[in-house]
Amino acid sequence: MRGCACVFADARDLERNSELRADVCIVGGGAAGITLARELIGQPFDVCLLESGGLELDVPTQMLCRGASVGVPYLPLEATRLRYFGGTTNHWGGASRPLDAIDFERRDWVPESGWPFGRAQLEPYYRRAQPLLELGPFAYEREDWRGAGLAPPADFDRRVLRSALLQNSPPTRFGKVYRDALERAPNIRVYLHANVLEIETAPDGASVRRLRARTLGGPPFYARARLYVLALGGIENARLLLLSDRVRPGGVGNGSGRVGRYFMEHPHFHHSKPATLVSPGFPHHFYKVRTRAVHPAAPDRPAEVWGFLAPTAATLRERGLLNFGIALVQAPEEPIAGIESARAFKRAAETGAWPDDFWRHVGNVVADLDEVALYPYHWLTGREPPARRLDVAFWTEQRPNPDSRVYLSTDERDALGQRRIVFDWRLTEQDRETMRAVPALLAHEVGKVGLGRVRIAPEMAGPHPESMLQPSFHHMGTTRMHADPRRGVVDANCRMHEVSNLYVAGSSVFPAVGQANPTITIVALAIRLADHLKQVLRRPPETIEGKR
Amino acid sequence: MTLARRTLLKRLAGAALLCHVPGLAARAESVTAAPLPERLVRLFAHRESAVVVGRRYLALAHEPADAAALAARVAGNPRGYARLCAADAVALRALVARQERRDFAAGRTVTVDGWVLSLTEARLCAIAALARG
Repeated sequence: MRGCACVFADARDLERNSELRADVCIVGGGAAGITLARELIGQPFDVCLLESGGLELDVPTQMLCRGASVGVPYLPLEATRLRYFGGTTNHWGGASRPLDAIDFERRDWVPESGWPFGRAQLEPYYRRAQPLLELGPFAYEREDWRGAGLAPPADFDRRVLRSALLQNSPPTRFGKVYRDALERAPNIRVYLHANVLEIETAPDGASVRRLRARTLGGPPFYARARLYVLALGGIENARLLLLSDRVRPGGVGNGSGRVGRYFMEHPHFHHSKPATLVSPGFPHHFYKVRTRAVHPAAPDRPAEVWGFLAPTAATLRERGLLNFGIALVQAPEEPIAGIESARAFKRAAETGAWPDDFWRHVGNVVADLDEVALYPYHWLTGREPPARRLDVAFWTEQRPNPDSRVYLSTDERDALGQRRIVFDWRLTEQDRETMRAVPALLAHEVGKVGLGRVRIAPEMAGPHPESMLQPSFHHMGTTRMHADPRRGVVDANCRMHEVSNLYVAGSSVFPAVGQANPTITIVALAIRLADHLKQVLRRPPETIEGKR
Repeated sequence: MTLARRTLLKRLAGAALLCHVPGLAARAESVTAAPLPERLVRLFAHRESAVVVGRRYLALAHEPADAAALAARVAGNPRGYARLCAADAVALRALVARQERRDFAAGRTVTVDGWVLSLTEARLCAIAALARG
């Protein structure tokens, strides 16, 4: 079967053993897969996208990604990602920020860190990713937003901490936002309910011959293409490679033994109350989670920004830390009688009706005069009063660690007869050191500039600060990128080192993960990969696919 | 003994407030002739919370249970002691606040029930606790 129809197809309607044909076959319809397909719209070649789920959540399909968790406590895996068109963008929060330049560097205090290229090479693709994620202009540093009317950040020592910005995507649900474009595309065909079970390779394992697939309860079918891209997410990319072990015992492209290893997350500390900041008046407005802002250079593209604290590169280098971010969330104030009474007077002045217990209110105001004195300015200007108590939330990078991994279960199988995943997320002592260091560093910096004091939960200083973490459900690193085939799974173009026509898209290729949410980097890499595939497909077929 | 978190939050906020609004704070002290430990204790807007922190600190730290000796440690050396003694209330508050910031910058901090405090303010709290007896 070749050629295109301009609607999504249901793989359950395919005949037994039928073979789909295309120039590019993308496996997985999440942020990476949809971005890739979208970038290939209108190109002179056919694209086939195979999505395991349908257009809505379907429990039997969702349960295909169940697995056993044997490492750091985690939610059930099937609750941490979504297996239908749009993938995990169907429940992501929208926080977006590119990785920092230092995240791409080889850092001598972070073993196995470093990307094969620097941030400058990815920056044009980050810029192209911005509108796809419905974000404002590519501007993430405080200095980039001068003239936009943002509140000033706190006056921390800029040699240690800098105030930076995230942008909030609406959040873009890729399956809904880009469905029409893909349906209308003459060269794209999307198959729903299509589960790829195996990557069939040539006898030498050096090229993909075709993909073996089936629907839940339906007949098998195949997909054959010149190029294949796995875009299944940070766990399932590795799982499919490991499952495809008919030719090579360790799975496809796993001569290095690194497929499934180096799993990384972003440990996050917030609801467990890791630390609290008290202050006579912290200038928290810059750090509010949702601030509407209009960049002077892009008045037609308003953005929603969120200020946070990030370490300088010098801080990370001098202290040997992994990257991190700190958010300051205003906590509910304890009611102060004098303030409440002053508010009663303000209401009375507006309505002309004096409160019945007038003298009690007068007494309260006099007793709390120091507190009340701070408020008239804020009432007059319409601004919120400064914060007195803020909850400290922070998240950290993880060190690349080969022992943190996913692998195949020997006894558990899913409804398609496929071996389930065993999820063994682990931390290193360096991860723990960074977890302990972040609130301590904040406490010192806050004290140093006289902004207040910080209380740190005792667990954060103990041997197991991870007892307070919550995962971010960012799954990264299991098919890591490295220029050296012995040390990575894919090369700088996201192509498998050992398989000439097989590529991997998504956060599984991240060799180091920084502190930023991964989605915008996933999308930027997918755009970059699409550009690369366009070039590759101009070459003669025999230079691409090897033996078939 | 664990400090009541809510109370301490409020009281520490109050103490910090005093440091930042000299006009409001100045009324708290006008006598410079009193002994230095007593004048240092007057810096606290909420002495009760300072007493609680100070007791806790004295139980944890190797410090003399002697207010004069602690005041000398706060001053650092005889010259510093003389400077603190000569300062009026506003200047004393400014000197102490600056020393606290320097403590943080130099890593001279102590942790009392999770609160990261400058060594100077922990000692001031201890003086407050000793003054209470």
